[in-house]
Amino acid sequence: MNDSANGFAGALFFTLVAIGAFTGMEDVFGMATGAGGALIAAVCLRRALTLAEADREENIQRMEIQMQQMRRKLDAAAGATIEAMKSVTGTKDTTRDDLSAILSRLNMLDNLQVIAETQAAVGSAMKKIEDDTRDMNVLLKNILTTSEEIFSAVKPPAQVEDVPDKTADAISELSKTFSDETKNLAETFSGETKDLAEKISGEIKSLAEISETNKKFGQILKNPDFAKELARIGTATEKLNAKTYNSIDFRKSFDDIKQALEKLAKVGEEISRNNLAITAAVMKLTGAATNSAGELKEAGEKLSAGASEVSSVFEDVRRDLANLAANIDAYNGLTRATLDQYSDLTEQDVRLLEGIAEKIK
Amino acid sequence: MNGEKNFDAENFFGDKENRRLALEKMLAAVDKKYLNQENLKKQFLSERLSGKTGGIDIADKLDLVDALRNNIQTALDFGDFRRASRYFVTLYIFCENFFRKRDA
Repeated sequence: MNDSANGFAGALFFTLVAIGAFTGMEDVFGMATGAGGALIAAVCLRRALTLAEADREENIQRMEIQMQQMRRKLDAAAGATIEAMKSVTGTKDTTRDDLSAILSRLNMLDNLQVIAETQAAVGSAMKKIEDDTRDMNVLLKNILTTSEEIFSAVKPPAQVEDVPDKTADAISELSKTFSDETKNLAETFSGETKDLAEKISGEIKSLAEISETNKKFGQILKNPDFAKELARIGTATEKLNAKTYNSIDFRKSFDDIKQALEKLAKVGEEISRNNLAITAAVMKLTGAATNSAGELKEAGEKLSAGASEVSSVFEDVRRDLANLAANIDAYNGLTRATLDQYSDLTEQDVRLLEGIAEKIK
Repeated sequence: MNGEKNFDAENFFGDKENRRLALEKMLAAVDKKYLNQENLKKQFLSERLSGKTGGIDIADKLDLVDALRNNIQTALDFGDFRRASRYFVTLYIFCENFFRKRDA
């Protein structure tokens, strides 16, 4: 409402009322004057109300204009908001796609866990195979040792009748051993005799050298008689010495021969003891051979069982590896398909990009 | 961009190399239009003259722009064109609102 119009109407109205009251006329003129003043006041009041109504209408129109401007601004802001919401929707779709991809990859992780468990089972089976192989190696080594002992036996016992071929081999081996021992003894004795002869020869040579020295000594004295006597004495001494030495050396050689014979007798006794020990060893080996046959049979059965178990384990391993390869192929295929599915542009993306390209030209 | 067409829809339905080139070309156009030094300086002065003290600072906004650009480049390197295009749309809308509000 217009304030000036209101003030004017109010002042005029109260002035007329004051005039009417001031005149204080109680006759018809006074009443007419009062009625006329009231009428003028009413007209002025109506005029003021009309002006106020016009102001109000103007204000309403201004407000409508402002509302229209605000609506246009809201439309402009809504356009940007819609685009932002579309972008947010696209981001939400991307997040949902990511979650789907994560879900599929979690399934793949479950497959990988199965693969890891399979690998652990394969590792356990391989460890068991290794242990079995180690046991088989020990058993084979024992069998080899026993076999070597059997085949190195020199004489089978006479009472063992079921192994004639081994008995013959053992007798032959024992004969060879006895021959070798005899040969060694003969060589030892021959060597000692030879050493003794060389020693005697060396002594004779020494005596000859002494005689030669005496001769030279006689020549130096240049006394034929003395020299002759000395020569005679020297010859006699030489002969005597030779006899003495021969006697001593013979006795010494005799002692050596006696010692060698005693040593030979000891060797013979040792050979007899060895024969007894060999006989006992052969008897023991015969028993061991019997036991070894059982062990060989048992080992063969174990080997057969181990081989079948190894074959079974390798079959399992082969099957697990085939499953692993199939799982890896499936995983690779799914990964490729997922990437192709979620990395390509959609029609909505292309439209958005086209619109932006037009704007940033 | 000097009358050159920045985006060719046929390229996006062509091979992957064409899609990558087209997106990189549009990214360069956004850089040239919005993220040049003169424009950023004007934005800085505008914010200082308007006496803004609240909200995110211009440096934070530029960090956001850098993060978006890195995401776009990473997605392009991995051949993920869908993700790259959506990050690019977000970057464009951000730049458009950010600078147009000042110029209006």
